[in-house]
Amino acid sequence: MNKVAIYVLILLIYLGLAKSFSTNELGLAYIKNVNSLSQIVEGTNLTAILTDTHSTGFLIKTYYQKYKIVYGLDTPKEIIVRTSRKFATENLTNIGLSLFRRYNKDELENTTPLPPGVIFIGDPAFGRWKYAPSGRKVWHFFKAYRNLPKDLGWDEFKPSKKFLELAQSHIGQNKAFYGENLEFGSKGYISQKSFPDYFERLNRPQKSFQDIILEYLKNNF
Amino acid sequence: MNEIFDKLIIQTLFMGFIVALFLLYKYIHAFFYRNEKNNILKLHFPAENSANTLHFYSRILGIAFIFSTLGFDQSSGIFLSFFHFFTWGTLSYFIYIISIYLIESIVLYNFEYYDEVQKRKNLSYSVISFTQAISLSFVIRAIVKESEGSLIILIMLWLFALVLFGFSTKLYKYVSNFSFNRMLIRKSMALAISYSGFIMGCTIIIVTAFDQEHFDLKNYGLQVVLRILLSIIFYPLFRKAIIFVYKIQSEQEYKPKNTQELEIPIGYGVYEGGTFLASALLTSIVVGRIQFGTIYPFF
Repeated sequence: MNKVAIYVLILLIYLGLAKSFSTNELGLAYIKNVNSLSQIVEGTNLTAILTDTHSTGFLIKTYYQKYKIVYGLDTPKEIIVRTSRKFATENLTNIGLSLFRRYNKDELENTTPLPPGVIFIGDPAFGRWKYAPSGRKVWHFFKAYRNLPKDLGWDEFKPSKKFLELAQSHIGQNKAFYGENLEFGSKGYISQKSFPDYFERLNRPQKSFQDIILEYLKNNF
Repeated sequence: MNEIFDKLIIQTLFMGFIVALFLLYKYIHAFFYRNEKNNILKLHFPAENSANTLHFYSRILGIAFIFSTLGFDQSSGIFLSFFHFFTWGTLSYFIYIISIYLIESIVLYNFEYYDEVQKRKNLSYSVISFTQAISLSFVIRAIVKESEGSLIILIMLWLFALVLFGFSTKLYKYVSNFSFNRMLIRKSMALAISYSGFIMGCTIIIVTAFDQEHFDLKNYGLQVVLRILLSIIFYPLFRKAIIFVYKIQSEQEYKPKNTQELEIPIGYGVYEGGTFLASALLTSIVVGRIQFGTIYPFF
């Protein structure tokens, strides 16, 4: 019995020490939910886009998320965070969406999942509405902010007034918005094209056991 | 042709230098193991006392092992390459001698070299001393390699390795059925084989723990401790597995006998030592030889 107790103690000491000094988790902030993003993201006029997510561990899982922070007046940056299982699972459908925004005015914050860049649309400091050849009003950024559509992963997307109205209505209801035609989010073609890492990993073809063995034999013998 | 001759001359010079270091060891050995009967400075007759020959050659082999880690870098000039080999050779040489002295003082504190080797010709003592010397040479070799030319790192790692090695020697009484001191007095070869297997196993685990990339000493030390802890977790499992798989009935055979009086068969020592060594080798695979690669997706 004593031997078993000592063995279990050594096992626990090992796990505790290995966890404490694991280089994989050094410097990674932990966010329990979207509100925690507010504490680790600094600055104003910004939108935090969830670009990738994955989990590690067979028995005990650790969940990671990657965000692209796009600033109105600064260069974008990427952050990787550890998160809770609940939050990671909830947002599996929200890859490519902005989960957190901080406005300039009074540092007002919003956490409704929205297509990236809604924070900048309609703000006269960043651009203006123009008539498209189709006759509908679409948003154009000023020249100084011409990189923003690329940073936000819009590809060829031009937001219309209706788009902004729908987004604002979803903010009011605190309900996720995936675009007028579901262009954004994990099922949206724009998000899949602009932030491909997660989707490439998801759609990577699985090799059969036979293929793996044949490849090994070919390479080694 | 000129170049080939020059290289040959340099190689001969280096060889002479290594032999000179061995000559130095002769005097150090004489200093540590002073006795009137068989002074190392006089003529040496290997067949006269096998115990003494084994004891002495363990040191020779150990030093040869350590020197085999070092090399001459001719690109920085002949003088500097000599100087580098001399400083690191001498340093590791003294570290090795001091390590042997310290570990023998811990493990064989009840025994005197003169009494056991010269007077009693205790081969069991010599085998244990031989194994310790060879094992220490592997540990010193590993830390010299890991110190990467830094004296501070070498000293820190040496002290750290000595603590680990000394600690592992003390664990023998908890894992073996042999009574170390009692059996050593009786010149038990079974004990010598069992202890040799155990200490070689511990050496393999320590060397495996030290054999990893390091960028800063603090983190490296922690990773070494973690590997040692991991080895302590796997080692008994492998030992139990070997005993279980091969249905080894050692306890029944061993326990009924009166160990106070009877000589324990060499087979029992081979069983213990073999199991210790095999378990340690298998543990070293699990702890240090698995290349995990990228088992997880990464950003």
